[in-house]
Formats: sequence, structure tokens, C-alpha cells
Amino acid sequence: VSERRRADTEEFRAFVLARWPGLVRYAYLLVGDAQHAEDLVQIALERTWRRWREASVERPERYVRTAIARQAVSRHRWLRRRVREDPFSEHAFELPARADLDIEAYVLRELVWQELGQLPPRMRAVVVLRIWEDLGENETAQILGCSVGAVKSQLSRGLARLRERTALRDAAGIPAAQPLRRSLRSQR
Amino acid sequence: MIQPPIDSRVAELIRNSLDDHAQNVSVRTPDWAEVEARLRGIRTARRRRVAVAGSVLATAAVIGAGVTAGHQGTGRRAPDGVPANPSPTASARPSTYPGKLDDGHVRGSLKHDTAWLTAFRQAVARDLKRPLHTVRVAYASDVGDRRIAYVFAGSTTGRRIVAWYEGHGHAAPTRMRPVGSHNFGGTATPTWDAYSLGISNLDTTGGIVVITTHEQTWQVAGPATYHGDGTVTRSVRTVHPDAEGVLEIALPLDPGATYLIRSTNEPAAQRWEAIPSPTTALTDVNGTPTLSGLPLIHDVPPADVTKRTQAQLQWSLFGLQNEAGVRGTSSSARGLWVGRIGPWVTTTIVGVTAPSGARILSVDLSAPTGPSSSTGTQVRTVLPAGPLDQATVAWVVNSPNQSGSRASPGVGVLGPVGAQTARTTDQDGRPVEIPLRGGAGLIPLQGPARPGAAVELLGPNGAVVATTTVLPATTELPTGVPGA
Repeated sequence: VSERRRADTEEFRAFVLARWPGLVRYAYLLVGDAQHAEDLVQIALERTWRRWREASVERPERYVRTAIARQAVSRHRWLRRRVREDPFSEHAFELPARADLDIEAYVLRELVWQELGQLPPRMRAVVVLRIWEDLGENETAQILGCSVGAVKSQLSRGLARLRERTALRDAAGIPAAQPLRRSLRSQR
Repeated sequence: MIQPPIDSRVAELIRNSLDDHAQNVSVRTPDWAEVEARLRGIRTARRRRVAVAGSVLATAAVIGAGVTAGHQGTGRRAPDGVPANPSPTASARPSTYPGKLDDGHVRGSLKHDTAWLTAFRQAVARDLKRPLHTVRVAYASDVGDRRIAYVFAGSTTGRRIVAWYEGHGHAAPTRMRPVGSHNFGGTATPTWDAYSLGISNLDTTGGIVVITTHEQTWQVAGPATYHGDGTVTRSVRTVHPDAEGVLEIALPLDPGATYLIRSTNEPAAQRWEAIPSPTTALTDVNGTPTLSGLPLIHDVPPADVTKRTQAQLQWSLFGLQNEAGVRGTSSSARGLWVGRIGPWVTTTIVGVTAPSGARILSVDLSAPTGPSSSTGTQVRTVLPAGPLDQATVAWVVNSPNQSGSRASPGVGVLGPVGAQTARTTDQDGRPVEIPLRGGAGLIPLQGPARPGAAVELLGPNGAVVATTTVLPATTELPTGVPGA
């Protein structure tokens, strides 16, 4: 048993050290705060370790990412985060000192980041999973523990909100939502 | 110029922005020792805050316990006879899972409902992407207004999935949803495993399900009652599994209440386990934490009351109310103090007043890495009925164990409003006195701080206005049950 335990520990250690940066980055995109992201990763890893020892984790990477995403959207954490400083605006418009910096593009990306921070956690998670992780609706629904319909509606509403933001719309030259819906209908 | 579809443009903007931030966020991979220390800290905090996990779903709860000690074949359980579970196949590799419950028997009120079980196994096989012959149902039953099932699913690698499923009472097989295997775990000892299961969308009842392989006696302790004299009691009842080793107890939905359960037979399982409790207690109807907008009881310097420290206060309150099992409808909470006691950590002190007037206090020391990163120091205590502004508490201050920093050993103290000085004696009997800052402070000691030592709080005229004794650095609430 102890040999099995040692092997499990070693396997888990290798997994953690190899995947730590990727998991923290993933969590960071979900919550917008590096420290909070590390918290989420630690909690998810602790849960994973418990399952690992029971040999009941088939796909550890998927398991950890699911745990992170669910923690990120959980109401309990949302209540806690709500009274924290707005993490998404923390570094907005602190221009990095890079000679090749395209300031307009940089500002636009920061605007998007800021607007993402204004979305409710679940909506933001759907946007991150669908657009950045490039996951399908079914997989996103499984990870967040919700229905496919909820994923569709959350993504639709999230994108609509981003389109509606005046600052983003002006900076990117995006027309408002009403003309957009008309243009999509005309495309169909 | 042809404009690209607007959704593609927005999606591209989002992708670029997320890419940018993912690349630029500073990530340091900690060494393994640090990871282990952090996981230990989380584990400790989780065990103290089991009920907090339950509150995530704002639900009632079910605990299922599978006793795995080797008492198979006692002859008490009826033979299977239910063709819903497959016979073990020669191709199935032996599992590494230590449980004995995966024996082909179906327990619970649905054990003879072959059609439902077969359809359920098919649904689970689809859900878990496993061959049907490796999916086995150990338990399926209606408890209260819920339908609960416990499933084993093997794989060709020898690993095994253990999953709780739940649905509304009389739910169709396809309406059952996995709960226990993903977000919720429980505690494990060499001889038994407990899996907590939060049930969402619960209307009227929660419940406890215990599945054992041999006869055991269990005790269930009801919600804690905090009396005006500072004592805590719970009603304890003894319950027995049925002939199949199944124990089902439906519990009333009682937000904020915490139940405890333990086996009295199995030595390793005699520790009381908290059953996650649904609670959004101490928040208003909109879910707004009650601490929001309320000033702290003590006159804390405004610089110490930041959004981050407010979040820490809220976090402390969540932990306290869930550990204490207090109901939001009949209790009130206030932040008492926040700031630095010792050079490295933020201390938050919150208090809850129970219906009897008893005061339940929490002292949390948070590491600088985030509001949920505990240093391992949490002091919980119950004081007799009285106003929260007269609450007094003193505790041993240890060094943070995760940040690598060192704090001076000493005694942290919070006095009643108006106290200006705190006084105690060191290990050689020499008096040590400090002025309080906003009612609290650290009494530095040359030697180790001594739990049980007396601390006096003095008013502006030098008169003693309160006394208390030093609590250990980690002090848990009295549970009101024996052997906790």
C-alpha cells in the first residue's frame, strides 16, 4: 500500500509541477486576479489529490479545470469577490514600456479585459471556455455543471453585453446591437 | 471593404485580450514542499469549514458512508437477484479502490425496480462514457423528496469512478445528475469513506444516507443550541441501518443548521463528521452580506478598513456561521476589529449573537496571499450572553506557516470598547503591558505564550474593566457532543 501511495504521490507531484503555470493562467482568466487564481488552483488540486488517492480521477487535467471553473462561478466565492477591489481594472492602461507596442491595439485589449470583468462570473466563465478554450457547448456545460441551453444563452448575453459597451464599441468601431441583429438576419 | 461578421470580431477581440493577459500574468511555479504545505493548509481549513462547502450549492445535504472494513458476507444482506447489475466479468481488471460496497448488490427502495435500474445504468454509461457492463449500482432509493443513487463504474485502466447521483423524487433515469464525484468529496480513513453530497434545488428536505457492509450503530446530532451561559448542546439520537446495511434519514430543510454524524462501532470512524448544511444565513434577501455597510464595533483606523480586509471579514463570518451552525433568521453578526496583530498577518475578528444572547467569536489570521489563505490560526470561542462591544478574547499568536516569514511570539488581545491597555505576565511572572490600538494589540513575550494565562484589560483610569484567559492559537468551537 505504501509503495502504491508513494507512486501516487510522485505521479501527482509531476502532474502539479508540470501543469501549475497553465492552471494558474486558466484560473486567472476566469477570475481576473492572480492571487485569487492561485487560491482556486490550490483548492482544486487539493480536491484532485483526494480523488487521485482513491484512483477515481480518469482525466486529472479535466478534473482540475472543472473544479477551478466551478469554484470560480460559485455563488459563495462570488459573494466574497464582490466586496474585493475590482481586479480587472487593476492594471488597466498602465502602458508597458515596449518600443513595438501598438498602443491602440493594447488599449482595445485592455478595454475588453475590463468589460469582461464586469460580466457575472458564470457568464464570464462561459465566454472564456467557449472563446479562449475553444470548447464546445456540451463540454462547457459539463464543466460548469449547467445545461447546454444555459451555455448558449450566457454566451449570447455575454457577447451582447460586450457589444453594448459604449467604450468598447467606439474603440473597435463596432455598431450597436440592434443593427447587428439585423445584419445577422440579413446574412442568414 | 467587406466587414467580417460582428460576432467574429468580438470573439477575436476577446481571444486576443485573454491571450495577452494569460501570457503576461506573472506565474511562479512553487517547489513541491510549498505546494504540499499549501494543500495541507487548505485541507485543514476545509475540514474546519465543511459546512462552507455545503453552502456553495445553498442546498440540503446527504452523507453517504461506505464502511470498508472486511466484514463481508455476514449473511445479513439479501442475495442480489436483481439483474440490473452485471456479473463481474473476467475481462474486468481488479480495482484498486478499497471499498467493499461494489459487490453487485443493489440496496435501497429501488432495488427491485429492474426497468429503472437498467435504464439508469444505461444513462450513467452514456454520461461517464463507460461500457454498460462496467457500471454497477450499489444503492438507489427515494429519500425525502429526492431520489439518490450510488454508482461504481470501472475502466480498463483499473481505476474506478465512484459517483453519487441525485434527482427529484421518482425522477426518470435520464433526469438523474451526478453530484458527488465532481465537486464534492468527503473524508477518508483507512476503514471507511464518507462522501458528502449537496443536493441542489431542494424544496423541503435533505437527508443522510449511510451504506455499510456490516452492522453498525450510528449517532446523529442535531443543530447546536448556544445557551446564554456560553454552553453548547445538541440533541443526539442513535440510529441503526436496515438489514441491508442502509441507513436513510430525511432531515428538515433548516438553513444554517449543522448536523453531525458518527459511527460508534468503528474505532477509526468515531470522530464526528459535519454534514454540509445549506446556508445563506446572515445575508439579506438579495444575498448581500450583512457586514456590508455596517461599521466595525471597534474604532479601527480607516486605513485598515480596505475592500480586501472587508472581504476577509466576510470570509471569516462565512466560516464562523457555518461552523457554529447559527441560523441567519434569528442571529446577528458584526465585524469587531480588523488590522495587523504582529508584523505579517491580517487579523479579522467577527462576532455572532445567538438567539439566547450568547456571543460566538472568531479570530482569523490570514496570510498576505489572499483572504482565504489561512495561516492555520483560527480561534473560535463562545462567550456568555452580553453585548458584542464588551466581548474580550486573547489568543496565542504564532508565526505564519506558509509565507516563510516570522512574527514575534506573543498574545493577541481584543478588549471591550473603551479598554486602553492590556496586561499579562510572561513565563517568569514578570508583568507585560501594552497600549491597545483601536481596542486590540499584540502583547510581545520573550518566551512562549501560555494558553490559560490571565489577561487584564484596563480602562483610561487604570482600572481593570475586563479579564480573560489566553486561548491556544487554534481553538475550535465546542460542538456540544461527546467525543468531538
